[in-house]
Amino acid sequence: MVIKSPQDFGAGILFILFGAIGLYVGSDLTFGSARNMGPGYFPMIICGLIALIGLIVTAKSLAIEGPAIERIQFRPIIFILLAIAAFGMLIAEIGAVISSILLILFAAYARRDVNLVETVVFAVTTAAFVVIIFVYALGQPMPVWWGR
Amino acid sequence: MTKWLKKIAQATAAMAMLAVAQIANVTPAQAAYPDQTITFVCAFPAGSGADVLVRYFADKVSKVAGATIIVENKPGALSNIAAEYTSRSKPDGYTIFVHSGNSIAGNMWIMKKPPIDVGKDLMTIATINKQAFMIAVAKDAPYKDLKELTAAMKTKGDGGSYAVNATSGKVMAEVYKQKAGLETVSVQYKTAADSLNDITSGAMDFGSYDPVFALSQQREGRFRLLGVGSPERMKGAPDVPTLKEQGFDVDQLGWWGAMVAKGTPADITTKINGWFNTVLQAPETQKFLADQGGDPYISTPAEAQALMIKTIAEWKDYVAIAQIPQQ
Amino acid sequence: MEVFEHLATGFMAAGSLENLMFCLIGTVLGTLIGVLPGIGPIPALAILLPITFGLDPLSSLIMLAGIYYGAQYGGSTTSILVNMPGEASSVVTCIEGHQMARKGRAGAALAIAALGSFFAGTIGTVFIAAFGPPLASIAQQFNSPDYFALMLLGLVMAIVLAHGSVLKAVAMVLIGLLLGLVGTDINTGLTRYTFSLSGLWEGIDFLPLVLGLFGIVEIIRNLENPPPPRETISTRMRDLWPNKQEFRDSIPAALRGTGLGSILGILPGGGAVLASFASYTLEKKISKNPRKFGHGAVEGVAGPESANNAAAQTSFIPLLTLGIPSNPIMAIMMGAMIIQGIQPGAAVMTTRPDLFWGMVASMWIGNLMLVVINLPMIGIWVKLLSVPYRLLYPAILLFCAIGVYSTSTEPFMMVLMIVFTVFGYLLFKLGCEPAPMVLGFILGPLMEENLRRSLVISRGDPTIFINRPISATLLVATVLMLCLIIFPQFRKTREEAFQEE
Repeated sequence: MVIKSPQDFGAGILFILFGAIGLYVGSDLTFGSARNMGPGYFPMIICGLIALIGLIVTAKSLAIEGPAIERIQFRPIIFILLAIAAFGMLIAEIGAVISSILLILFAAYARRDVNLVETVVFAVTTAAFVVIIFVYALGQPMPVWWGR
Repeated sequence: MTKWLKKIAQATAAMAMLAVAQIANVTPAQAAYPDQTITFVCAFPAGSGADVLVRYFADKVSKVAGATIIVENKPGALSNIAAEYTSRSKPDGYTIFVHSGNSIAGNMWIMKKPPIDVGKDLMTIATINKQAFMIAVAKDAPYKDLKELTAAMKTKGDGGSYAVNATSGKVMAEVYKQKAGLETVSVQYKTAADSLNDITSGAMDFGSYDPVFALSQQREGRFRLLGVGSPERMKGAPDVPTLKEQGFDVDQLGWWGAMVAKGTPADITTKINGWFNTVLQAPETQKFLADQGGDPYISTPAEAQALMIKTIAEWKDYVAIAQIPQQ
Repeated sequence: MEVFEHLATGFMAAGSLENLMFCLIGTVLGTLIGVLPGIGPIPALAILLPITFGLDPLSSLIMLAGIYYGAQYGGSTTSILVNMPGEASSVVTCIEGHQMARKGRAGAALAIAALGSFFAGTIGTVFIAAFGPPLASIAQQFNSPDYFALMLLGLVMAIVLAHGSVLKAVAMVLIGLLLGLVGTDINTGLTRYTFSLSGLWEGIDFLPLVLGLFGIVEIIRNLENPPPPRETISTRMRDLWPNKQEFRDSIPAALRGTGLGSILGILPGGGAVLASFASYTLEKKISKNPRKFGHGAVEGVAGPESANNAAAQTSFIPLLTLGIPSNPIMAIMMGAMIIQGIQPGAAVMTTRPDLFWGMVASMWIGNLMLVVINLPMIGIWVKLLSVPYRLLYPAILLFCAIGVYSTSTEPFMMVLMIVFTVFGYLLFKLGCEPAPMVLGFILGPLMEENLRRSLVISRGDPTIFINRPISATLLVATVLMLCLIIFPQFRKTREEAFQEE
């Protein structure tokens, strides 16, 4: 078995997984009848179709040539996700200023060769901008600092 | 470049000043309530109909209280996220949950494991309005009053259909059905507006609607309102007879109130209660509420809390009657 | 010529110096807030709503309408420049608009979007003035089965949004449908696919989904493969302005988009969203050169942007004539009217003609201001792209996070955004396009709801879909559309397969 189209192969597997999980998780929902459809009727049909398409896409990927999957680079995605996670977890605790600065610092390190001084200055300026616009001008519900 | 740096330096300086100002703001600890921003918690997403009500009161109360009030939207989980958030906030009167009392009381029974005990973990300290759902038919429907509708639905058996959307409306229709001994089939809609075309085209025989929608569609000449679920006629809609006076023993009054975390000192709750009552006495507010088919509901903190306890008890039966599945 | 009399009343009311000023403030504020990534018209309106409490009714409605158009246009700007849609209809603008920006035609895309919107806004205003009430009665003819058929047609159109494999696009639509069903089943009150997370009880939130799938994935893509350094961006008018060919391609597309948008905008529910998607589908289908699509086809900006704006106008019709808000934005407008003591509905037209026609007139004035403010600003927006990307992307990310935080302060929203970023990243690596999924996500719940309801009403008889003329027509259109999509595609893949051998 040779995979001729890695992208499609991956997509096919993803669809199969999605459909299978959907079928499994939804299996305890009442299916019902056409006259009185249960909560499971529509999702089950959709999951079945997703899995079916997954099978076809996978099968085709073994027969027809297609593009390769681009190499996954871990640095950008990890730092970007860290930045969001830090912001989301911390803003209620330590306030908009510091969590904004943290988000920008984390995000900046998604690239190599970071100019630390520039980034810090930029982070502080942006955080000030955010506080002025969102908290003072627009009255959005976020703490500026920790406490309260 | 130097220009840039200068700008940045200015901004940083401004920022530092802000920081100092903030810290200075926090220090005087024992100042009179309210000396900081008050948060109204809204369990609906920003911009929804209920959000508008909360924001209206945020605007009016802030003028009476002389404090800034911001609205924080914490939608989700059948309003429980907002309720839980309020119950965990400091009992200092700066976090006020403005919400429908019935909805939160009903949750005590709709959820298998309610995260908080609404009667104990929250204090209901003010009531805002009372309103009740209404039974409506299309303007050109053959039924002139509830008696005719009931008779017609009896003959139709399970061939008749009616439209429901919100939980309270569902419950009221279900109770009416039980009292009248009907088998009419309930059809669920997401919003009241979604069901309008099916009502006017005759696909639905009747519907159970919130007063805002029912009254506006009556004004537009598309609905005839056959009954309201409150024990007495509403001031905002004196022409609509109650179900009770037409011989169906339905007593379902919905209300909105303000809640805070348990343990909030009495002087603060009295103050908040006073603000709401002042706002409720303003003619502007009364008109605002009347347009939505609601009557202002003025009470003391103790009365509000008692009402909440009573509502929780009532909803145990309602949830069973309407066969709402537990989460 | 009653219409002109009415419009004259309207322009008198809306044209007062004070109201013009509020209209200007509204459009400017709306644009500025809408431009922030992650803040679409709904949060913008909700944030600014309290400002209008103190104004008299007409001024406040004029200002709110201005904010709405401004935010919508601001959202298109962000979509084009940084691939960051703030609402469903901008997803389409992202597809071609951002590709144009990548090719150095950001200025042209922005100008086309502004001009297309203005054109559509003008037609939309005339439309409301002339045919408002009769059009509203069309919307009233739509019953549950008809909505089901309309949603089905919309989903089939969604497949055309992708420019790769049809099969994968269908799977993406279906995945979108499934994601849309997460949450409480409205018929039974049971929760589905919530994995016991209370944050999912009321469904997956749109904003974290769309920002993760599009905006943040776009940032990660750019970091992985830095785009070739752009030549110093020229801000000379000649390079900002669309060229002759672009104009020639845009005008018919804008016309068609306006038509589609004006009609679909009247329908409650998914109407306004469908408009931009439908316009894109139409343009791609009738184009002599469909291969351009997905690589910066100007018709793909002009059509949907016009459709979007026309629909934004005509979606006021159900509110102003029936008292029914057809989408969340109209619900906010309705809330604002109620706060001002006005019950929306046909009665407004007779009891407060100055208010009704003033609002209609202000729509046109708002659109005019929008184009006047934004055309000169295009230079500034494009210049924004010359800010080094190393500074631009963290700032965009921050605005996304804040946008999500201000609609709901729950940390769970950030978790959702992270989940959809990872999912979108996977999809990108596997060559699947997320746009069809978004349409599936929005239409899915509506489709299931109407399907189930239709069958309850008919007591299980499926002929209800064929017996009603509206749904029958829509179903025939769906089948035709499917044939249009499937047959050429089979031919093409076969040709490609042969070429590869």
